[in-house]
Amino acid sequence: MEEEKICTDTLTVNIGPQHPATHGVFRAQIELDGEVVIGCTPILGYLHRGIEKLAENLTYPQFIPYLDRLDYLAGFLNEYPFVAAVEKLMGIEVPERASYLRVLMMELNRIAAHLVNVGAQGLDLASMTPMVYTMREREYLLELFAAVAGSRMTFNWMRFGGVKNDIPEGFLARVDNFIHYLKDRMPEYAAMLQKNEIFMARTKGIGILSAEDAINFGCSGPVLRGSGIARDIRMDESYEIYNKLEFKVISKKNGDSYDRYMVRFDEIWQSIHIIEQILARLPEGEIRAKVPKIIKPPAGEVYARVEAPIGELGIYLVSDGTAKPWKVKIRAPSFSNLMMLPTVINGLSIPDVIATLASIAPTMGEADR
Amino acid sequence: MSELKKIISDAIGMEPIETEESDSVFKVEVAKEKAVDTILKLKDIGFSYLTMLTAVCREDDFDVVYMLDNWKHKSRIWIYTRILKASPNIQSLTPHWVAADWLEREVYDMYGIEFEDHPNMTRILTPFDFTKFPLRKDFKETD
Amino acid sequence: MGLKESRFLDPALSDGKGSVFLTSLDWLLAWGRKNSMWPLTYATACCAFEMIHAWMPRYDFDRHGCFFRPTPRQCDVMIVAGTITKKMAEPTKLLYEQIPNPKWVVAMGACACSGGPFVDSYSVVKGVDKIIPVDVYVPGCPPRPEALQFAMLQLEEKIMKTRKNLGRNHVRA
Repeated sequence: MEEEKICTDTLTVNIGPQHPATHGVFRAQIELDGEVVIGCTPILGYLHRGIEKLAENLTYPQFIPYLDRLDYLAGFLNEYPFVAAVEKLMGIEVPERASYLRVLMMELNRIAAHLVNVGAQGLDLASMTPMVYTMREREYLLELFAAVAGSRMTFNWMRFGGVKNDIPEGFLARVDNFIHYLKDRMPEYAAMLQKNEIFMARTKGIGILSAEDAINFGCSGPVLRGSGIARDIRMDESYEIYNKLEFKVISKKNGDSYDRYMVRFDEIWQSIHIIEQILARLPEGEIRAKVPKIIKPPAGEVYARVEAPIGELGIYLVSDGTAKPWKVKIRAPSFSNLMMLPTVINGLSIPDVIATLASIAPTMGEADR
Repeated sequence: MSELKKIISDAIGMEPIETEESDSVFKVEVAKEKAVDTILKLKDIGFSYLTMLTAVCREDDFDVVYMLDNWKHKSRIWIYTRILKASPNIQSLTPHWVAADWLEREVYDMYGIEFEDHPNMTRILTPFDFTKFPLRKDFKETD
Repeated sequence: MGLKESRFLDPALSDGKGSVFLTSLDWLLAWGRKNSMWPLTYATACCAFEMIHAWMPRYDFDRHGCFFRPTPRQCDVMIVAGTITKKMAEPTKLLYEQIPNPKWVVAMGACACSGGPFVDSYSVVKGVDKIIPVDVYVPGCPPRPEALQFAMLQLEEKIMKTRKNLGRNHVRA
């Protein structure tokens, strides 16, 4: 008599495209054996808007507003690499005050983006309160952005050779107020999140990415720094005035979800530190260099990058000497960071997948472009 | 000749071109058969981060562009490969370097360049029933 | 049976002064529906964050009886916040069909209204009304949270005014 074998079947679970924890419209097809994840197929493109094709039919200044809609959490940081790429091609020098203003707004925006991701890490672990707290702070920031750029999220503020307009009267005092307010609030978040026993249990040792893998997959930003590699473009390839500012590159050792979260949290402190320095020594002067009325960069190719909240955001620009770019390639950090997801979630259970995805914090507008 | 330039030319057997941008940004043009080989040699000498992989549509051919970063020397190198529109295929980098996986699929999706030996050469961003290659210059939106 | 025993209609329980009220059933149903609109947590792009802000401190739209539900089967309202791509059109339609009747749709932002800045793109649906019926349009890129709240209040008004249909105005044969 043949022995009867107990056969089990695997189960396919679709997370997304509409799912509150996928940060947009990301879809992961997960193969389960019992409760254990044995395979994952990410499916992208649900927010593919064809921005790179649109760029080829627009003039250079017309394309700036589209960049805000890439990583909609960090509009200022998304505009910057394109503007910098054109400036590099045309050899435009940015006035010092414009440079300071750019960095000021970029760092404020980094705080705004990190606040969302810090809060969302709690939300995705089913703790609603931190998100409510961080969004309250973000509301103040968005009003600051609206005071400068006229819009809360989609700014269209950077210009070739400088910025669109100067900061309004009394703005620095408002920033100063906000910084003091945020400093008081940060320990509150820490008490709710990383000092919470449940939070630690849900994130420590979950979704471990080794340093070697992080480089091999082309990860960047907090994902890379969480794995122990202190790579920050602000430090390594200083742009604008970052070489005059003092800040630390945050990196953690373990490469788990907790460390990726902690990198974001500590970077808020670094951004606060940078903003304080700028407030102390913002110079007077011009806010825009003299540029031709019609922007026609000389034929050539250029790559400019910025340390966005998610990672290295780059623009590869090919110009043919006309008023419209020949090609714009956006190097999207979310796209590269998501590539490692199937590797790190193997052997975990579904709730851990959500915790890991929250710690990668992709923005699908940028991943799908 | 700078030290780094010498290391590169020793490794890949040809001299890289210095770009106007900076003296630590190099450019090298290789034939399409040698592209993967060159990249792997560069990876061994410290260009260990694949930042970008894309293609540029020209008149009657494509440029496939790779960009590698060297963090230690704060340098980067662009590798250009020219392939004809008539036979848009090139050796895949993915079996050797996993970072190229989705980037190559994206290039296939946008330009129709086939990467041979890629484990999953399917479309990644465009809709499931899409048949055209949108970033080619002759693509026109009709509806 | 239930009505008979309620204290409003039973003379023995009520004091007979102002406790009885008469209304039409459609008014009562519409009144109940407009005060408990539950939207679906469905957002695709930039507008998602303005939508979240509308429900977070400062704007706090929970006080109007709007609570997000993560599954379409518990929802009344679908706020389409963000660009709908051709790949996303099918899931959007599916989600809409999963919402039980009566149901309403708010198109939030330029992309959902008409395609917005991406109207020339090859992969974007030029307005969500091409695939599902829309009740209220909110322009803006993205609209401020107040704009979304105003749209929801307009929707409440619409529910009251179209109450004769009992919300069945979107049922197709």
